[in-house]
Formats: sequence, C-alpha cells, structure tokens
Amino acid sequence: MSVSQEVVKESYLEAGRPDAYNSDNVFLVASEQFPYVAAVGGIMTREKPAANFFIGYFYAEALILAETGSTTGAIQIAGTDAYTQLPFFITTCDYTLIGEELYAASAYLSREPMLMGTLRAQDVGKGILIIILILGTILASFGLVFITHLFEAF
Amino acid sequence: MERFLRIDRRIIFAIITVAVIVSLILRFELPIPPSEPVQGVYGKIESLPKGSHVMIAFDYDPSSKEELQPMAIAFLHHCFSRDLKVIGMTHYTGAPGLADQAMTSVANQYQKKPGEDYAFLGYKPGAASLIINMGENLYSAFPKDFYGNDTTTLPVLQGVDSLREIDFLFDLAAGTTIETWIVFGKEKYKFELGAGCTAVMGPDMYPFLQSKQLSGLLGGLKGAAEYEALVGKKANAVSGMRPQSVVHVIIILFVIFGNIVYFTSRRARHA
Amino acid sequence: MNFLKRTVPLVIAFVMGVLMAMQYYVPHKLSQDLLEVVSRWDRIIAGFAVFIGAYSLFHLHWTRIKRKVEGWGYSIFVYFGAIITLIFGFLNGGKFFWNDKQQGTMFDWLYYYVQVPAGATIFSILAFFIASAAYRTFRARTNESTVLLIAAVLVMLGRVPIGNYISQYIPAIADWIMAVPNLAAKRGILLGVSLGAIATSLKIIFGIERSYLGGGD
Repeated sequence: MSVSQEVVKESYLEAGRPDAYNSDNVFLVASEQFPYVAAVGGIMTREKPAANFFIGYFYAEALILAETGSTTGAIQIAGTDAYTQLPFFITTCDYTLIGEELYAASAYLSREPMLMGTLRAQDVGKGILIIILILGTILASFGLVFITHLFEAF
Repeated sequence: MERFLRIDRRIIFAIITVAVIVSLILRFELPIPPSEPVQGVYGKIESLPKGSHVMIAFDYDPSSKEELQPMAIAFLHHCFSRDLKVIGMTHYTGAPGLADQAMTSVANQYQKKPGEDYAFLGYKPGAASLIINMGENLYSAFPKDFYGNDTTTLPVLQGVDSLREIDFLFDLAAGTTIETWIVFGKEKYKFELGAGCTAVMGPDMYPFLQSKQLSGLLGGLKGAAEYEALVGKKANAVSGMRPQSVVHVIIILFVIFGNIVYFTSRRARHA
Repeated sequence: MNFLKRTVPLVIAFVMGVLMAMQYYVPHKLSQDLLEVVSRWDRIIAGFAVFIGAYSLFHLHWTRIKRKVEGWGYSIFVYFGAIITLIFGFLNGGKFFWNDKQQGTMFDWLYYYVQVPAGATIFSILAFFIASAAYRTFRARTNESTVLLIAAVLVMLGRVPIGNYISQYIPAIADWIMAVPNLAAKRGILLGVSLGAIATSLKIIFGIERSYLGGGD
C-alpha cells in the first residue's frame, strides 16, 4: 500500500499537480477478496466514478467488480494476466488489455526509453523461445529427448 | 423488441433464482460419464497396491468448500475402500477444521483408525519452504500431528521419511498451490501428483495435464460429481449438477434470445 | 539521507534478488536452510505491512466519521466489526491471547457463521452477474465474436451432464476446445507474461526500476 501511495504521489508531482494528491484516496480496503469486492462495489455505487481501471491480478472478484462498475455507467478499462478472468473483463469492460499488452501499453503511452527497451527485450526473448520450441518439436518428433534432462530439477 | 435489449437485469436475476430453486427441489437423474482428466486420478489410485501411502493437501478455505469438500470426501472414500494409508496436511489456516471433518467422517465408515490407517498432520505456514522441508524430512516439518501426537510414533507413517516415499499426492487447491507443489514438490522429489481445483482455475491447469506433470485433474463441482459417480458414492456434487445444468442451459437460452432480439431490431432499423 | 533512502534499499534488493535466484539451483542443505530462514523473515515483514494497511483503513474511516462525509454510517461498521473480532480474538475462549489458540471459541464462530457465509454470498452473486453480462454482451457482431459465441455455448453445455444427455459429442468437443485452442492461448499468454515478469524482476534487482522506492529518480 505504501508503494502504491508513493507511485500515485509521484505521478501527481510529474503531472504538475502535487496539491491534488490526497493520501486518503489510496488505501487498503481488505486483504481477502470478498470483503474487498463488497467494499469496492459499495464505493463504486456511492461515488460513481467516471472511469474504472482494473489493472493487475484478479481472482473471482473480477466479474463482480466489472459488472457493478458497468451498472454505474463508468468507462471501464481492464488490464490483467489473470487468464481465467479475461473472459469476464472482455464482456463487461469497454477495453481489455490481455496479458503482456499491459506492459506494452505503458511503453506505448509514455515512450520512456526504459520501458521501450524492456518491451524490445521481451520480444527478443519471445523470438528465442519460439526458436527453441520449433527445435524442440523437431527433436522430439525424431525421438531425441535428451535436452529435457537438462531441465529436470536436481 | 428493442426494449428486450435494455431489460432490467433484476428480471434476469429473478429467472436464475427460480431456476436454481426449482432444480434443487425437483429431483432428476443426469448421466455423468467421467472425463479423461478425472479418470487419470481414479486410474492412479486403482493402480496402487494395498498399504500404499497417499498424501492429501487440503489447500482450500471455507469459501471454496462447496466445490472442494465433495472432491475430498469422494477421494477419501476411494482411498479407504482400497485400504490405502492416508496422510493429510494443509497450507491454509482455515482448512484444518474441514480436513479433520472429512477424514474422520469418511474413515469411521470404513472402521479406519487414526494413527494406524490415517493421520492428519494439520496446518503449517511456508508454502514452498514447507514443501521443501517435507521433501527433505517429513518429521522435521511436522513433529506433531493435528492432535498433538509425536509423528515419529505413528504406525501409518512407517516407511515414510519424506515426500520421496509418498506414492501419490492429491492437492485440493483453491489458490496457486498446485503450481507450487509441481515446482517445489513433484519436480524435486519425484512423486505422482494429482489435483482438484475450483472450476474457474481448471483451464489454468491444462498445460500441466498435457505435460504429464499432473496425473489427473478434478475441475470444479463437475469433476467432483464424476469422481463420486466413479467410486459409487453419489452425494452433494452429483446433486449440485442439477441446478448447474439448468443454469447453464438458461444462460445459453438468454444468449440466443439476446442475439435474436439484436438482429431483429437491427433489421427493423435498416428497413 | 540519500544513501539510506536510495543506495541501501537498492543494494538489499540486488543482493537478495541474486541470492534467492541462485538458491533454487543449489541443492546443498545450506541453500534449503537459507530458503526457510528468508521465508520466515518474509512472513514477519508481511505481518508488519498488515499494520500499515490496517492503520490506513482506520484512519480513513475515522476521518469520514469525524467529517460526517456522505455514507459515514458504513464507516462505523468497520470499527464495530474490527473491535468485536479483536475482543473475541484476544479472549481466546477465556484462555487469553498468550496461550495457544483454542478451538470452538466465539472467534471461530464469527469466522464460520458470519464471515464465511458473507463471503459465500458475495461469491454466489457471480452466477447472477454472468447471466446478465452474457445476455447483455454476447452478440455475434463479427466473425470472431460468432466463433467465440459458438465455442462458449459448446463449452458451457459440455461442462455439465446435460451436454452428454443432448449428444455424446458435445463433451468431446468441449474437451477438445479446452485441451487444444484454449491451451495454446493459455501457453502463449503464460510465456509472454512470464517474460515480462522476468524482465521486471531483473530491472528491480539491478536497480533500473525504482518506482517502488518512490520519489522519482
């Protein structure tokens, strides 16, 4: 929570509006998922935010949050790598960032060299993985599985 | 027709409520053929000789008990009916009560004795570090069982020094413990691993099924119902299939109806 | 001050990050002992973090009650619930908190008969919400959404016994959809996300990513 507060405070500072930051706006609601969703659902219904951003990892509370948000008429954007919750976000949110699109979105918006570099590195990593997958498939098709022993735990 | 597109959602909620209540009251039988992932777990237990050691990790809390407790009970029925030695433990603080209840109630039906035929080690924090600890030395991880008995004196644990001697481990998971068991348990200590999980987590586990890191998987209430049908002990999970089937069909009908209304009103607007 | 606020945390992050990454691959007993000790420290630090969160929560609701902000009545329930739970937790069935936790106390009763049913109630809302979301948004507007719709219908039918009752092929098709295209998509997302997590972890370990320290570069 303190990390989140620092990140939000820093963002206000960078945007030139340090006066607009209120530490009471960034708070821990609950550590369990259902008390959390009950509280946030209530906040959304009472305060009626104009936009909801669901960023991070979600469990069963995803649909309840997004559906409650849609009843208030808010614009909803979700970004998650919680594979099992993606269908719920896609049906209830206006835009959904799937998996690593979350990382790409921050690089795309800010154009910061560090984020762009990370994205490039991930693309290179993916390229390497694809080559390994193809090589591994070819080797396995000919019954040559000795490489898998390299990845066995001790 | 357009007003059906903007129907008050409370009408939908009311239809679902009535459907669930009616299907719970009316009793009808539905065939429950076992799927391949469920048969994987069943077949593994069937292949174990009498006296083999099976460990069950009750890694769920009371909020997931509706899906996972029936799985636990059906699995325990299977193990006790085949005279296997059962050892229970958990990573969750809220699970010991549920685990103890399941083990004791099923064991009593087969006249199994605690300490001799089964043991419940209880809860210990640590996740991965606990698994590694159990993998090196089970008795240092759990010096006492849930009831305060010295684990080194329990007859059911004879021949088991660590996870390496476990013939099969079944993880009932409401969270991410299955992956932890695979990474820190199965890959290091080479025991057979099966899992039961909530329905929403089921798709996440398919990569491990395909790579044979999981012998089998019971996914959600349907997985529990299939296992109950396989072991011949139809209970809560099989009863739960009635409202689940009805609600699935109703949702599909809603979707079809919504599309019919959408296309009809679109055609009317263009006409 | 910069040394304590910047340099020391970065050094700790680097040392612990490299140490724990190497620990997984070292089979020696010392490595396992290190993992156990660090896990214990981690749980203790996480416990302190709960205090910070709890303070933030109570401070927020106290401010709302003091200023009589709209909906301040709900904030009273936060205190009410927390105080009642704390009292029964400390009482520990009459043995008080300095003894081992007792079974069957009022604290357990509050957990099993208040919190768990409340959690299950919120969980059960999902069934209603998925029905209303499905009705509202599952439209065959494009070719892709039509394919998605057909797959969703087949999987929904295949995952319940009624699918087999209608046709023996429905569960088989549903299993194929889960085991082949679904699995391919899941693996693709998992690989991409894992690479992202590795990249972010490396950035934190090597001190390139410092947003967790706050206060800018």
